[in-house]
Amino acid sequence: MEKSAWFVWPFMLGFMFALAVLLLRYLWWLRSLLRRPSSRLLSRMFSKHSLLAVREIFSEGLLHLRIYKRNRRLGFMHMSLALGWFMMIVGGKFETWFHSGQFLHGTWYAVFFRYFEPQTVGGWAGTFWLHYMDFGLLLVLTGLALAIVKRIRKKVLGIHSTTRHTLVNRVALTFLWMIFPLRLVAEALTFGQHGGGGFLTGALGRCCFTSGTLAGLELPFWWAYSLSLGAFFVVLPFSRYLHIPTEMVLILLRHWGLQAAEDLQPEKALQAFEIHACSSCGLCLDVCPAIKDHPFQSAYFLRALRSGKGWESLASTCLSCGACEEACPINLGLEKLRMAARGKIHEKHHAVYSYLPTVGPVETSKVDVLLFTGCMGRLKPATTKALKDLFEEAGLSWVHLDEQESICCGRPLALAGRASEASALREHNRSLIKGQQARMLVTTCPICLKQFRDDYRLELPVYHHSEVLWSCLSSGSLKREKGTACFSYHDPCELGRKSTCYQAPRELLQSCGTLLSLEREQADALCCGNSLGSLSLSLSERQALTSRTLKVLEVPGAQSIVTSCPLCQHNLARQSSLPVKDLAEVLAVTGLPEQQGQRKAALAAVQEL
Amino acid sequence: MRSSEYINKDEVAIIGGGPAGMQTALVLSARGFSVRIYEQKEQLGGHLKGWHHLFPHGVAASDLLGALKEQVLARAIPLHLGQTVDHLQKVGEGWELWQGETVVGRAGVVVLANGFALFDARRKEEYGYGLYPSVLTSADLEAVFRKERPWPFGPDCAAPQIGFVHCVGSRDLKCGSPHCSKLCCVTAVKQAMAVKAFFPEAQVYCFYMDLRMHGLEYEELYRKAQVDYGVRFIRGRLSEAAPGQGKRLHVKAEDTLQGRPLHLQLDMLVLMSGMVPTFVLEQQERAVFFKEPVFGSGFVPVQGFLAAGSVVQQKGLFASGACKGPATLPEVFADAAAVACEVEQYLKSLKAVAHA
Amino acid sequence: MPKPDFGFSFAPNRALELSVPLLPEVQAVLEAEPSIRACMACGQCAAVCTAGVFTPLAFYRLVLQLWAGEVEVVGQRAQHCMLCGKCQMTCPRGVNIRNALLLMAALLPPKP
Repeated sequence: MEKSAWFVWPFMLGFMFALAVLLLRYLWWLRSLLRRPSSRLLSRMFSKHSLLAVREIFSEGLLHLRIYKRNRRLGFMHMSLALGWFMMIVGGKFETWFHSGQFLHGTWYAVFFRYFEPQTVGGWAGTFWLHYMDFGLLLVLTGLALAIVKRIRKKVLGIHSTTRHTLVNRVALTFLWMIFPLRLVAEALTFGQHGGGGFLTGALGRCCFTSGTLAGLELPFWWAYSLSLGAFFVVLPFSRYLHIPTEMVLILLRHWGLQAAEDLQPEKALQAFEIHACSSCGLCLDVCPAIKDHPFQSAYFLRALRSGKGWESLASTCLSCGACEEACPINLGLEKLRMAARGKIHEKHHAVYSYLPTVGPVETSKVDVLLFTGCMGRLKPATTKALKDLFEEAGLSWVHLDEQESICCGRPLALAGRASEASALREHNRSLIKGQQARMLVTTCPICLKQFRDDYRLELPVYHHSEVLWSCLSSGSLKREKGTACFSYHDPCELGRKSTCYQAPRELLQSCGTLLSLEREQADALCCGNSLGSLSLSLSERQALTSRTLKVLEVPGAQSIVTSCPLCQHNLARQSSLPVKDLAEVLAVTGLPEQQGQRKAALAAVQEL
Repeated sequence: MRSSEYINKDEVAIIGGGPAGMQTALVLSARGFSVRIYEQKEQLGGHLKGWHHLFPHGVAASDLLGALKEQVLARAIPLHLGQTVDHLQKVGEGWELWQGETVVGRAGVVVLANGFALFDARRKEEYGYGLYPSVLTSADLEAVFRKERPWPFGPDCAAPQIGFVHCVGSRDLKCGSPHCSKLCCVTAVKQAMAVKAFFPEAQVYCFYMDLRMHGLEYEELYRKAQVDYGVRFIRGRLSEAAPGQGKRLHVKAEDTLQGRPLHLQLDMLVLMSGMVPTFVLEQQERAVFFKEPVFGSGFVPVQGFLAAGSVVQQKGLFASGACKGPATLPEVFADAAAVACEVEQYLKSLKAVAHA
Repeated sequence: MPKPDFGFSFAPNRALELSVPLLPEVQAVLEAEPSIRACMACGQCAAVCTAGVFTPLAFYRLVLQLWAGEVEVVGQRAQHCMLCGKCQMTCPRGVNIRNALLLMAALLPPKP
């Protein structure tokens, strides 16, 4: 090294500082694992799981494929920033190796390589690396330009909302934005003065920086480049840019079988990595049905958890509709984290359920369906009646488990973060179900469905009524003819995103009428506003959400709105100017009286025999 | 020739031929103004047509309606029956009345007297209106009294169990109607007594949140219902109606004064549907549209504290009666007279300006 | 010294003293869920409540008892709530009953 190299120190100090802080933080988060590593983790560490993790790090940490799938322009922005930078780091290493024949160098050598070796054009390989590095830089600069555009006009990037950042994040952002333009100018100055360079830096140097009077600027620009790099690294471990290294570690840990804790531990194990792996990309903001009313979206919630301040109200207000978790490009377990936070808020809550009955209705013969309409089902007698009529029409026998008194399934408690209390209710219902002889459990409430399916571990299969009715239609035990009715269908959060049941309701509606397509449906559907997932959202805020959802549903041509959740129906029906019905009601009234007559006659004939 | 020249500046168009519309027309006509009534139904009368008898004195609704109609006919007030008006267009100082693409009338002043609508009880699905035949609204029960529909229980049921639910679609934020409809309380008392008069052996329960007996002699009626008719008043809300024994309904409620839940089997459940707006005004600079009300829409807004019926932002547009909010018949009559006076003042002030 | 027996006793004063300030824990609950103040004790919540059939849990009464400072009774009864939300669905005044009951149930120290 002949030239003065003092300017590399800001970068080196910042880099070492970031490395040290990261190491300390990660060790602190992993403290319990390091003390007692699980054998599962160790065995997975040296298996194909690590390779799968590397693949995911590449596809998500660098290429950002999941963001790309949701939003191409935004995906390209993230991809060009991350991949470009990565290309330059890898390329820099190879270039220095190629040039010096030596693999190991000080970290600064590759970063400021052009300054030290402006004339490295040696054969085709040297030319290749020059252009390769310029291409990487161009990629980053493109991403940077898009990022700046996104800050000024977010609509250009196809998003409606961007995260509002705190001071430290804005400082980090400023340094990050300065790094690459400074590098471009510094390299161009060097090439302008000394000749050489790739298609970008070299060309810029030749056209703008050949004048000898600019020679004095070369070193200051390399200083500025180093300073901005160093400053960025100093703030990195305390800003959202911590997500860059953390996301990679998170992917590894996940593939090694580590799972997030049920209780809130924001500085421990996988939860700590999840909280710090969020890049605040803003996809969760864009899909949130409540974005106009409240800044409680996951990006803000995770940021509050990182700072340890104000997360309580953010956790309580959220609707838990699951839209953000569906959209999250790094698949963070947002609902679980939110429930853990709620559990922490209400840790003093305690419940006593010894009063509940443990004996259900007595039925000696085996029936087809054990019907559970749930708490909300009681408020929807029309749905229950329609469903029972349909069961009769399809020749299914049933017992209504909670016709007299409804014991809650437990999910509302779970949604409040009270997992242990929820399990007490599950025990009660399990003992009621045990006494019954039925082929399947059918529920009209998607909230119950989710709970029964995921957490009850029952011996009999659990279905939502839309699934059972669909199978009746497919098997021919129910027959419908396509009528002229036009429906718009509202996907309940708990049935759609939470239980991935989209097809059955649609098949049912298409069997008897026309289903209209909506601006937001299926996994992108909005919450009706009545979600039990929110604890503290006020009525007026809920009603504002409902009217927004109704705007999506009340499309031209729609004669009625159909849904399959008693809560959604109750809520939408109160506010809508169109009739709002449950699937079962729609199907029951579209039954042709003539067919019903034929069926009754057939049944009577069978009974006579 | 400009169309404004067709408009007789002194003529008053009244939209709605119910008690408010008729009374406003009568007062204005008596004071020498030329008045027309536009009524979308084929007959005058509005909601009064469907009522059997009136609280608190039990006057037959048909008598009152008959007397009103007679006066309207005697004064030869021009009637446009079966005529809907869906928007108004300001032309000069006056108004054109439109239905769809056609002008159906012109006037210097328009008085809205479109009245109220009854809350659609099907929106409170848990009470089973439209699902169980023994669930009626208060309006349905009046039709039963008028022998236009049968009792929902058979003739063998001499001692029916009957429940009245107050505040169905009133004082309920969830239904978008936070207001008190104020006359359902006394209507329920009146109807409970009437039911007892038909079936002396019946057991009648009224489920209320608060009993608002604000009018003269309402409180006395309430006491009479308790003491002379044996109606039981239970302060509490109904949870839901479900099929019960035989054709009966099984009803769950909370008796808030006892602090205990209660169950009962009913032969008839009457829902006291609240009063809600029939239309909302979409006001533009020179036009006023009557639109279907949406969730949470309010009644017609009038100006300030002192004006009886001058509609906000519109000169020469007035509102009379229950389209401005729940009102009893005596209140509607008093209001109609006050609005008529305001219309007179307005017309006189126009003339004064013209002379000056 | 043994208490003197006069052959009669006084019943404790049952009157609520409204001029003393609310208990801090009551105030905390009201602050955390201000919609509680909108309760008019119509009883709709209790009418739909399953727990209320078997236990003395009735939300509107808990609100009255909260105002009266009967923190322990409120805490005990709120523990029977299953949080199903039926009451909140039907409440005409838009009270966030689930959140209120969560807060009320935390008024008692948890049982071991």
